[in-house]
Amino acid sequence: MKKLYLLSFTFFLTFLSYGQNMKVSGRIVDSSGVQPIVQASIMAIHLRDSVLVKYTRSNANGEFILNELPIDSFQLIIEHSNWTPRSIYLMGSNKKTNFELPDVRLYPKVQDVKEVVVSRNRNAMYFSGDTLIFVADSFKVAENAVVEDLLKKLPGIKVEDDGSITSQGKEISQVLVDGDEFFGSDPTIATKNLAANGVESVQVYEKKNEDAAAGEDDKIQVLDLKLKDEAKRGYFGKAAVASDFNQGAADEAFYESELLFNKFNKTQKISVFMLASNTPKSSFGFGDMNKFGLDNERDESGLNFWDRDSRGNNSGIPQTLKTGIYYNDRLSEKVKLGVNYAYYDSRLQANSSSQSQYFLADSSYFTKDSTNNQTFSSSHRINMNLQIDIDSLTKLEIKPNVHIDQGTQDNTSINDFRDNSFLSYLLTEVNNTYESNGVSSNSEAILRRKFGKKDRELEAKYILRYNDNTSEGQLVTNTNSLVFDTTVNQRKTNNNNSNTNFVTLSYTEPLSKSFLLTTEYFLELGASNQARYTYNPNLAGEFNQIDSLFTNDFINERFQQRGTAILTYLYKNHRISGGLGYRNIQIDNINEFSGLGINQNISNFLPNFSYQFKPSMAKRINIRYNTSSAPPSANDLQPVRDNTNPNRIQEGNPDLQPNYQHQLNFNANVWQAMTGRYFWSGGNASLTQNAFANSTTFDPLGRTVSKTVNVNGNMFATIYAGGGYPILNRKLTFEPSMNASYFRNNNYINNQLNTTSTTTLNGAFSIEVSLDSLEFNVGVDYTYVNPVTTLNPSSNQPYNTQNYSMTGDWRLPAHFRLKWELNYTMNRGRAADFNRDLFIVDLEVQKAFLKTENLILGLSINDLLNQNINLQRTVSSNMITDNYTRIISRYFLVRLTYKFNNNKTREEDLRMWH
Amino acid sequence: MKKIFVCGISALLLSLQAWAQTEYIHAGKITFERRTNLEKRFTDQRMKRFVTEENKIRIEPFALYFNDTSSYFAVVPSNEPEEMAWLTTKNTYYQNLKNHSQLMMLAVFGQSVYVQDSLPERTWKITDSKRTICGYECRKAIYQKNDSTRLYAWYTPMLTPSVGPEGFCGLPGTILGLATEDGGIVYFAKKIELIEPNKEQLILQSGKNKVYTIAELRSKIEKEYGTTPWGKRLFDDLFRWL
Repeated sequence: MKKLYLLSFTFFLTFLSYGQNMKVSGRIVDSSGVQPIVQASIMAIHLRDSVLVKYTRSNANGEFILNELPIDSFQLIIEHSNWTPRSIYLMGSNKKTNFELPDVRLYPKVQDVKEVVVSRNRNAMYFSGDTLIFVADSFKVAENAVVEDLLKKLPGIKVEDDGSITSQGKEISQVLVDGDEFFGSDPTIATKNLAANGVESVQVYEKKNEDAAAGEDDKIQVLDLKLKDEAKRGYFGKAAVASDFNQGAADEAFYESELLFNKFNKTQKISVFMLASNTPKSSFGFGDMNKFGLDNERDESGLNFWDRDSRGNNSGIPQTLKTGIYYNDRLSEKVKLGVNYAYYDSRLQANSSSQSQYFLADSSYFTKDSTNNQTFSSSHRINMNLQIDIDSLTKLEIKPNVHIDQGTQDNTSINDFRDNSFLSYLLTEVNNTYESNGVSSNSEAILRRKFGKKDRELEAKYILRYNDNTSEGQLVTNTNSLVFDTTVNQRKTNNNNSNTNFVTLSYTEPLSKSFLLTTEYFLELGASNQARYTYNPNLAGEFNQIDSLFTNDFINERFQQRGTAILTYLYKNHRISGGLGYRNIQIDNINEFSGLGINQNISNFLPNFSYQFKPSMAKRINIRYNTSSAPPSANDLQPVRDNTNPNRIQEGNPDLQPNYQHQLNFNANVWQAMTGRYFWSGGNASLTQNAFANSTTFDPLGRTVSKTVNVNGNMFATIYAGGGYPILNRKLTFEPSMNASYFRNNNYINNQLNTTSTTTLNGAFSIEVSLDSLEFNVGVDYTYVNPVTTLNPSSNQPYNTQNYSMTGDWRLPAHFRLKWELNYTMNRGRAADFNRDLFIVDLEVQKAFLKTENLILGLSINDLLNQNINLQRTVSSNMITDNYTRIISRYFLVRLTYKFNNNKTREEDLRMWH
Repeated sequence: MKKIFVCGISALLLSLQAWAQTEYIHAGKITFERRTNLEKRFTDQRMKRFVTEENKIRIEPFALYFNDTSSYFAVVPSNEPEEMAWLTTKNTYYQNLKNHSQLMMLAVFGQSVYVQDSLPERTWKITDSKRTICGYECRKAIYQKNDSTRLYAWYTPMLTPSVGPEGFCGLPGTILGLATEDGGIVYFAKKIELIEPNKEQLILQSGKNKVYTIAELRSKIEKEYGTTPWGKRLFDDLFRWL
């Protein structure tokens, strides 16, 4: 069918005039040889690589000319939609540069058939059907090579820096291990973690992809690693120990130790972890928790992506032990199971002292308090997570958990009451010890169902919250004053248990392309019981005399129902939704001791509204308004006195009503990708009716009795804004920010309404420098707080804090690394002793050893200048408190970290977005 | 179904016309449908979180207006809200075939960036493979962008201007189908209207915005975002068709 035209003209004389170029000309005619074919396309294609070099079309006479072609062999394809295309082969040379084709005839269309060539052999690589197979042992790799190293050796297979793979130029969309996905769909987890010598063969084949575009390549290319039987398992881990070898000022040596280990075997994954320390470090790093899959530790640590260097426990001198095991397995295609167990043991010794000034309508007085608190708590936690894909549209998730907690506390505090001229008139010493045991659970089951229709969705959710806690303790207090001395010696038992069921059913129906209707039904059914018994000793010293003033047995039952309908309108980049809920709550409070009951039956409307506008992916505006209502806690309701501190008696209030809160918030963000500039801003406001507030009554000595009451008019408002302005190709970024807030809280002092309004202004500015091996940030932050109370304006004293900081990370040659964090804080406007300046300096030097850099020796110094104290001022209603807590200040640690895996390769830390 | 019908009818009319007059088409409007398989597009596990069973195939309409001397290619604006619009790119191209130049408007994280440059010079490999798109017989050509990336184009000589989606041109006819090799992103003509586009349909102006050349933009993006993995993704997205 392919005809070869060898034009045997010899123009010896004309080639001189054409130099380095070739020229082809001719005329296209129909099969009769008479009618010219107009607009036929003529392409000159390099014979050796099919590259299109030049093209043209035939003119009205069917003529064409292709000039200035390089001298080479060409295929000339001539085609017209009504005729069979035709190829002419031209062999150009220096001697033959001008081709004048006679009339080229095109013929009517015919069908052509293609042949299929099948080749097969058995070697280092061969085809079996459509599968390309590499025999792994035929390709030599280094001793500890991983699969990625093996792939790099395979002909036609290329591994990019980011781990993505191509075979014969075509991207590998999936890496399978023995036909199954390996730890999720990220192919690099398999290729970087499995040992090369465990691979028997590498197979590349195409898999049908049902979602491909119509008529398009509906196949994806898959790389399947067939493993030798002994190689379907592996591990990686990290061990770190640190100590100051008792060289510091503290009585005992500081230490930190961590062990993390992850073992995998087919779809099964087991993680073991342990952390022990007596420094503020009380949780694993954020990156490690993600890498080793410790989801529950991450959730409970409170660390997140934005705050992953949180300094840990700063409320005293801690001692922490955490250990546990996670087990995950994909039991079948549709069932995933996760079980984990953790044991926590933590001790905290907290010494704090505070000075408070109280303002009453016509007088003021001071208290100096000091507290020594020793707590010990331990907890066993079992969590389970079962996910079942019932079918492609229905998912069921069951997450039961059980916590078993135990704790003891020994608290001694001294309250020293002083008058205007700072003379002591009342001194109380309180010692309170107790032991508690509890079992709790917060279990969930969620069923989600989608439908063939887009956006139609049904969700059913059930939550069980269960808590059973008992405690036994002893209270000893001694009060000495100018006129009387009293002693209290009591035994107390508390038995709290509560059981609450929540059910939520929600259904979304698309009414049209731009309208969605969501309906939701919510049910809460719960009961709680609080039994508090207080015993005084009889003459024989046995604690068997019930003190009825401090004893009660209280039952609180709740039945809440809420129905909500929300209509959402979608148009272009706008999303507007508005809805209304109706809620009814019935609360029965039964006092078993007195036999009295209080019933409440309250109904509310709960409206909500939101608007979102996203003009582009880098700009957005959100506005949201919603209302909510929370019932009072059983503790606030319980009508019995709590005399744990005889000078600060708490009393319950069974008449408390649920609160009702309006919340409004907005935010607007812009990011310009080309300049790297960004800007964020927003604000929140809330207004609470029937808010829970304290009503405090002072006796002539300044001792108080307080209870929770409902108040109106509490509000909070804040606005914030900030941005980033990079220069010099983003090597330097300026980051200004500000926020302002206003609080208004009402409460009662001696039955008089007292309003505290607090205005806070904050401005910050920082400069971030980011070079290849050096990153650092210099910042300044200023906060001004002005609290104003109506009852006694003499407590209205503004105060401020200034903070200057510098942090950095410098990667030096020879695997050295230097990190530092400097913070200088100035406190002003506080009580005389509390206007302190603090300069906290943290430094760390590291050096990595071994070829893999997996062994790291580091020296860190925390608080080099020994100035770290926890200092806080709180202003509430009619008092100002400056609180000081002793925490761990200067310590240094020598730390040895070893990271390892079964392949003896470099073990990377998990970095964000890598 | 409706689209196929329109396509079929227009193809039928066209082929009748072609048979009757043997006249080739030099101007018109082509509506393309772009199908993006997000699962194939994002090999990164973190990006894959955004991809669900329901949204993994994203379909977006594009329009190409063309005549002998110029072409304009842009997304067809829609009133329907689009979730996670940033998962795909929406570039606009104006090409002047006479003076061999083009002006492009690229979206970089929602910001419009203008790029002015000469028409791309691509090396095409011509194959014998053919398929019919919208009633036109198209020949498959392959563009080897780099070692690992190949793009397929199906063009028809029946439409004479050398134009196509995403500014692709340089073949002896109009490109009616364009696809990445793995089928992750595919443009196919769904409707061809024989109209003479007016001036307003064949214009793109940069206004007062800064205008880059392709090389300038490439070095800027490489320098400022090149080291991060998401920067690499941005880079791939931006320069996939350039």
